[in-house]
Amino acid sequence: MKPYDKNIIPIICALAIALAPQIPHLKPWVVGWCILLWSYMFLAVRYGWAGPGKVTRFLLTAGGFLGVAVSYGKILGGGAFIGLLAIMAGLKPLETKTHRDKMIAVFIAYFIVITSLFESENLAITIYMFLSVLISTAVLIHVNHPSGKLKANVKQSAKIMVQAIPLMILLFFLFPRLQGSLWGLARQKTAHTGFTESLNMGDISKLVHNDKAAFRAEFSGDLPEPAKRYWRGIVLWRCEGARWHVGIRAPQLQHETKAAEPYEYSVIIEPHNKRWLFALDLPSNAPGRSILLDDYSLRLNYNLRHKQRFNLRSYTSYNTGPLKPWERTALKLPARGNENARELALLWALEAETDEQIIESALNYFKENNFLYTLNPPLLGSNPIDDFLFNKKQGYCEHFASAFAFLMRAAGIPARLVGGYLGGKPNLYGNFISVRQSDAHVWVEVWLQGKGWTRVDPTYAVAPSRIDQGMETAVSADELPGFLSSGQQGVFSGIQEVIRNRWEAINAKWDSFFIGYSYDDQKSFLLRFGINLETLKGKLKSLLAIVALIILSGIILSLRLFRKHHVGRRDPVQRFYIRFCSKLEKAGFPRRSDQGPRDYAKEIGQKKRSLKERVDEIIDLYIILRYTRRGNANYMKKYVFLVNQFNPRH
Amino acid sequence: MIKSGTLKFFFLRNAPIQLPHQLHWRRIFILPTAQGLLFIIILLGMLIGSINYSNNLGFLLTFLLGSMTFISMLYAIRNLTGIRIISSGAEPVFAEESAVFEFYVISEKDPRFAVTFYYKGEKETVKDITSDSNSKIKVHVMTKKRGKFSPGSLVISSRYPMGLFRAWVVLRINTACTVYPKPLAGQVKLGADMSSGDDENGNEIPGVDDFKELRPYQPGDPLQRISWKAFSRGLDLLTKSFVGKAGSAVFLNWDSVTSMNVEKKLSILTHGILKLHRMNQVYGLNLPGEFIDQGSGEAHKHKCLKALAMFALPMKDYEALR
Repeated sequence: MKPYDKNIIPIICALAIALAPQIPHLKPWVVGWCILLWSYMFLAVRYGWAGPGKVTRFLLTAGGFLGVAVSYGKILGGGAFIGLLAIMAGLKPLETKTHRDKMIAVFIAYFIVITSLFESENLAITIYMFLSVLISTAVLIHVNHPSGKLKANVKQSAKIMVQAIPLMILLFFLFPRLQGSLWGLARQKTAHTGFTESLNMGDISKLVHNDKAAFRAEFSGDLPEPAKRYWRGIVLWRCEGARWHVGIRAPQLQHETKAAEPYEYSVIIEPHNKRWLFALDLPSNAPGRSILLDDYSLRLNYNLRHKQRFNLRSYTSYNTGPLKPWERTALKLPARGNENARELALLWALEAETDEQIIESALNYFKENNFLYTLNPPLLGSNPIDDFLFNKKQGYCEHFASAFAFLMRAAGIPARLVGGYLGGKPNLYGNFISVRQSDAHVWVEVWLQGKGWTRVDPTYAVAPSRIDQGMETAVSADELPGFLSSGQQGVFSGIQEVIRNRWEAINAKWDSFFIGYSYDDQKSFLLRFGINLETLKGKLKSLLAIVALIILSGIILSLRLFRKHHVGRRDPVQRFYIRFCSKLEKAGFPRRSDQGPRDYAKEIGQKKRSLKERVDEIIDLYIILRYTRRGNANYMKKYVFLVNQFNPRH
Repeated sequence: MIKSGTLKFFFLRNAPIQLPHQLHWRRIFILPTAQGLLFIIILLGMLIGSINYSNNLGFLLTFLLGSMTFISMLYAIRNLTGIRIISSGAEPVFAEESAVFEFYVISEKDPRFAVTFYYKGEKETVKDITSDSNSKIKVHVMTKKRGKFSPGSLVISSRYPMGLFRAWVVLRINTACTVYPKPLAGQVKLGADMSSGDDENGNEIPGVDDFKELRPYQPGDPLQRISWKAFSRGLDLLTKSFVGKAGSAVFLNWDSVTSMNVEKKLSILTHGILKLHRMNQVYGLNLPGEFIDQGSGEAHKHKCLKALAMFALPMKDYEALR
């Protein structure tokens, strides 16, 4: 068998670079598999080994596939697919001997690049994608031109890539997008963090340990002040003691709420694989394919699997009006359990004259009984609300909120739990707020006569700084997860902060420009050019425009690539000489490369006497202009005129 | 008279071309390679995936790769345009050997990479083409029989840069190679000098047997007969002249080969010439309709071999070789 040729090494490099961003998503043994096989290949090339035979290769392939099937529990879909690709990437160099194999190995690298884009959609991975494509293409060029220098191949690859970018941008913006998907989406089993349909005590405090971005809100005007940055996500109606659930699905909102001072903004939400959107306090419009429910939560018609932008309008001061009949469910409690809490609530209700006073009593109860706001609350017993209110007295926002809502309902005030985020960091360089998973929060809305649904945040009673200064100040420093602790003060952390803000600002631009681009954006973008995508004619028009633009860009590039003579562009004497020679060449008198102007003129004079005089005149002028100091503007004028006039056929 | 280049291309594309010739993009064909087709299918898969998951980065990569594929097509065409074939030629070979056509090819503008030259069904030669005036492309073709060998259509192709497209041109270049008969060992009766048939008395014929004198060098004298010793002593170039005995100067006669088959006869005569040349003999060739007087040296050998190669072939072929 033939030993491997050394061109395998660049191919392995391309595969490794393409696979690198996937490493966190791969099982450790798959990573080990690749490293092992690739190291073997390095040695095989170094020492001229022939490599394993057909049977061994088959066994390795079967083993690898079986390994994926066993360790992932399936062979296709989600992580298993990437695992499979990695197995192939590890194996492919082993059987790469022909030109065809090498090409296919590079194609695998390209394919791995696209899978990494399905994992995350940020600017960093985009930049990495370009790098990876640059390397893979350079390797592809190397495969087709093995004698070329590495630098030259990378340069050629960069050239092609740079020239492809305008076309790529055209296609990106013009290629007709669909509103939905072609077929059912394969279920991706990636663990998305965030809210679920129900809320257990302890869920939110777990989220705090998550540094991932949740969404970003870009405002066209002023940012809302910190204490107003309540981002509504889900509204929980059904109380099951320790657990709250969305419960009945609220109907669609019928009448648009009108209030003063709307905030116009857009949110770019990280994929969470659920249907809800996050909006500031009280949204009043339903963007894209979503509906606005009666409890002012926004529901998408699909699961959010990709970063997407939504344009929203919200109010922070409002009156939602009277209690609707279906909202009476906000008074329901489980039949029994937590009897002490019910009793306490009843007591407050008897004492109070207004609902506001009951709320006051409940908040005072939290304030005056040494409740502790903590990230590590103790476990609660079988009557969790009672246990929390009367014994443990330690909890995070969800403990306070669910206990408070329970008390309200027990006292006869309609109350619901709202899950979402509180706060977020305004960016120093852009007019937007970044909200992270660690900003997750739960609060309560109660219905009050004459005011409608009103937010009450019981967390404020125990940890007021959580609301306007963020979580970092609200819990004790040693409880904070590493990324939030502000331990390292000074210049270094200052610079870090600047870089982080800058990076987020760039990301925001990128997201709103590329990642958030959707069918709706395309529609309004093309409408500016008079193309309406809603109609068939408009769709055809956009396709036609694409084809026309591709051809146009091809022509533009061709003009560059096939430009005839690079020399003489700046030297008119030479340029006209070249024109003169090409006229003669077309007439059948090509100039040999060893012929100077005199020899050339002599040869033509011999071959065709009728041309002799005219050719000699031009050549004499050329020699004067090019090789002597006697040349002047008049000679030049005459020379240009003669060359332009020259026709060797007459 | 067809004036337009495009029309010319359609009507005269099989006409032999004159050198020097510069490849023009109008003559270049281009098609995706098998791997190119596979890649396009992969791209379509990526596009469908991106549509289905409405993944914008997926779109971005798909369109990037698609655009690069498109641009690589232009580059593939460009990699052949502007290649200038200045001249061609081939050293004579014996039948059933491979003829080596040497093309002097340059690219005046940017270099052209990994350009493949071959005659259909023959070995490929891959080379980068630069403006370097010493770049010779050697293209091999197997020869079958003696005579004037025209190699047919030369294919110049390239898969550069990405291997997704193959661009090629087919050129019929007016070039030829003399193919000598294949040497074949056999019985040859060496005839004596016919023009001086009564030389039996020992008239001197320039030969190789006995040293006679040193005479001034004349162009064409065999190198091995130059007296290098004398030259090193500071004398002019002198040639050692020898005399052969009568009858040692020989003729290869058509009739001196007993075989009846013409081709076989020619092969045996070829062998004879090679043998006599090796022995530094003076010899002549006497064929029906072709007489080559006695002589020796490389030029003489080739003259004789060419006579054998062209024996009884149509005149126009012979003319073409001159």
